Amino acid sequence: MSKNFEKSISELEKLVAEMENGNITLDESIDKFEKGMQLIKECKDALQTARGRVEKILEDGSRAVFENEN
Amino acid sequence: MNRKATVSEINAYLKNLMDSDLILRDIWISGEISNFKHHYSGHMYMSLKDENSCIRAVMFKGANMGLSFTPEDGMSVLARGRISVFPQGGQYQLYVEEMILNGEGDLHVAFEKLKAKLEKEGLFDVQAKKAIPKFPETVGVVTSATGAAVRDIINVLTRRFKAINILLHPVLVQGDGAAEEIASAIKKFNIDKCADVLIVGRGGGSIEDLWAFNEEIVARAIYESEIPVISAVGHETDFTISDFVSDLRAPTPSAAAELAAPDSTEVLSYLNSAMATLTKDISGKFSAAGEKTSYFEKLLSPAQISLKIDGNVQRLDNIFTSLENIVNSKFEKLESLLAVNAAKIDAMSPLKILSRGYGVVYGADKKVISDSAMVSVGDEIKIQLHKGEVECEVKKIN
Repeated sequence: MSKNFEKSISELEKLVAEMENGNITLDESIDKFEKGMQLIKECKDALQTARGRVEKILEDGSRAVFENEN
Repeated sequence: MNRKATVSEINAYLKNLMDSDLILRDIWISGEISNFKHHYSGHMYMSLKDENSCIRAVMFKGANMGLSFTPEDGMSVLARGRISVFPQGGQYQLYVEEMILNGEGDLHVAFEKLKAKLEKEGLFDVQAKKAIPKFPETVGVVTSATGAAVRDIINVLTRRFKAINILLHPVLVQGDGAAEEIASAIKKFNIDKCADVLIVGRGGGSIEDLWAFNEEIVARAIYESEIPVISAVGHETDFTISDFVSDLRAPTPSAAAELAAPDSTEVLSYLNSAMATLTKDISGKFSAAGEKTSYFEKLLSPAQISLKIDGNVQRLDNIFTSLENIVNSKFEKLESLLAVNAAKIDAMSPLKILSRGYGVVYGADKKVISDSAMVSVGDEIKIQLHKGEVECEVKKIN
């Protein structure tokens, strides 16, 4: 997952709140709209395409892919 | 003197007597279960007995839901509760609040002792609990590499959020050295700062199996962890010291995974709703702006503009016409003035005077002579007449 996922989501929440609040100019709205759409796209991409790693820590401190041992 | 009382009165009296006794109010009784009956109402009825004696006992539904085992006749148990009278039956009985298998007695005492100590130190304080991050990048897992717990945790985490990283620190979860391994795994995660949240736990087992999670060293490692810790030990009914000290207690390892990872379906639906909101807001803005624009457009339409221009052109035309009139009349006045003056000027011309018989006298240097001092006797002078000129010689100067 992108390191910035949480940041992106909270930025998006802020943008949406500002847009809903209304007291902004059309220019600002367009900027925020574009930024918001960009964030949504990034988050969706991260959600739908990214695959996390499943690893275990070995005794020497290094990591290896964890295969379920059951 | 003989006293008299009704049955109800004497039972109420006895109940009152027993309820006010400090020993009977809260006491541990050890004995063997007999005549056990789990009533359909959920309450449990039984007797506790030893070689010589027995006491009736009841464990209500609310209390017996927390039991870590299913009671059976013949089990040796420790039961804690109050002893009071059931007036309708005229019998005293133990109202059991909690019950453990007898072998567990020592562990139980140790548990209660440590729990009281850590609680006093503030390890369970709500203010000390850290928030579980909403979108952890990496979930650290401290449990056995084998068994259902790790499998459940990985399955649930990846099902909920495919993008999440899982980092397992395999540890012994029971037996000698288990507590030390668990504590050092928690510390290692904190030193390396390689996880955003930790799940510490194991699957179900007996109280002895779960004991590592009741050890002080584990409790302190959890308390000192800067990474938030979700405890996930055993089943729903198992409570360990780790559960009390952790930032969040999950009833099972699967539940811990549910708490650790966001549900990507929910996140997606949030993203979609955010998109809908943004689109709605921007189109609202645009239509509001559109209304304004069309208002201005109307003001500025070509028809409106040419109307304005036509109007102005006409005004200009009028201005030109009146300017022309003014200028023309001025010119006319000037012309007549000029005619008058030209006549006057003509009348004053020297040529006209000459025609009346005057002459102009020039000296040799062609200068007009207007004073006798300008000439000497013998000078030649010229006189210009109306027609022709005559040359003369100065004979005398008066």
